[in-house]
Amino acid sequence: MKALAILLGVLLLAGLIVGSKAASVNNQLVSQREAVQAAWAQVDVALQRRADLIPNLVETVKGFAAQERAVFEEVARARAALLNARTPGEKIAANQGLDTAIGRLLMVVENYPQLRSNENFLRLQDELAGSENRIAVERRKYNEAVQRYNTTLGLFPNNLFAGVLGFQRIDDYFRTDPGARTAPPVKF
Amino acid sequence: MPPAAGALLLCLALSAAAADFGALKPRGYVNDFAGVLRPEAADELNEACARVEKATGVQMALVILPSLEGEPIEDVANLLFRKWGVGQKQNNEGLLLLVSVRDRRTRLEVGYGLEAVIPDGYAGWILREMRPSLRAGDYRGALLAAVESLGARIAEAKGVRIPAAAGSRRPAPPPEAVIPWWLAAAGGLGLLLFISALARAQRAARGRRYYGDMPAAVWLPMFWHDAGFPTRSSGGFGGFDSGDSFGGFGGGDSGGGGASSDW
Repeated sequence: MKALAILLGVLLLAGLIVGSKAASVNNQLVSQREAVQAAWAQVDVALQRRADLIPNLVETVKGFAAQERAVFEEVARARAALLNARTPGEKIAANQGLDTAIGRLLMVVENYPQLRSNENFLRLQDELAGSENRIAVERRKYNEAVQRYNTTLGLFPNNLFAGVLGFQRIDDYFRTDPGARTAPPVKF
Repeated sequence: MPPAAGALLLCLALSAAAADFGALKPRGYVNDFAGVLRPEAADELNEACARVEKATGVQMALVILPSLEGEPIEDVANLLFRKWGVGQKQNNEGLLLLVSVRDRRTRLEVGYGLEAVIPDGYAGWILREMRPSLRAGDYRGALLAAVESLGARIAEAKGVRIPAAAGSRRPAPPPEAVIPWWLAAAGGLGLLLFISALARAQRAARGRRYYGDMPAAVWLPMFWHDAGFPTRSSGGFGGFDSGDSFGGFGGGDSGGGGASSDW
């Protein structure tokens, strides 16, 4: 009888310890997952900002180089793909397509010297470069948040609780292309 | 190696490459690490920035570097902005104007809170306006014109007026004055950082056993990252505000807005 009481007491104590640890792991993971979502929202704003800028940019370039129709169509398609993308993974992929299309547009611009000295175009180019830099900064912050979350998730003993509590690894990292970072496509 | 781990290592490699600039500490509004400004010019610029902050609450950091050492100017400007915490934490109204002498590059980094007032196109225009003075080697003139244009635009947006520079130059403080306040502040900050780094190192050492069953190639960079420099905490050493002089940056953040140019 006495042994049973001790056993019950020990089990209760163990349950309390495990339960409180699970609660603290849960809280930590919830707040870090929130941080990932907040960081993603900032990335999304930056992506949207660039997409919004593109019609204006294309119109200005068209004024000087109306015959470059293929490039304009490619940019429009890539922009539509980004606007239709829903999940972070899809958006990351669509954004790379838009990077390529804008790169081609800016190469075309090189052939039109009057365009490159147009103050309106210069400002649009600043806005575009600024948007690209914002995307770079926000995706770095997002990657850091994801990394923090995944690390917390993988640490012992958190990994024992995480599955039961329904937390999963996030694998939507931005793969940074080192070439693109060290030489931003828009320079003056 | 899974691609996610590759991305992680790449991030770490990038942050390591920029570490040199992360060690720079703010000296005031004006941070001439290249030594191209005469002391009177630096005082004049400091005073111009102080007047802007007093009237509008916006903090400006002017940074002159001898060289970017191959780093993109956007990364260096964002790193310094966030490390120093230019602007107040609650509204992120800060500006950082970076000039790299050898690369002949300029960047105006705009804090989150000023993106609507200083759009990238305007930031680029400010930098293009600086070109003639910079080409002539007139760093003082270029920076002063930029500070005045930016101050005027911010003041207009906020509906305030920035008082004109005091007509009669106040006499410079005697050179034999006690330890400059900013040196004392930097010393205190250094001590704080040292203590916090110590605490972090201890915490990280305790945490190390959690990495136990991973190969060293995985936990070593993670551990190194955990024990790394504080990313944002060095901003904002207040408490030394004496009238219209530099009172420390306030912990503001930037999302990479602004523009870059050259001369």
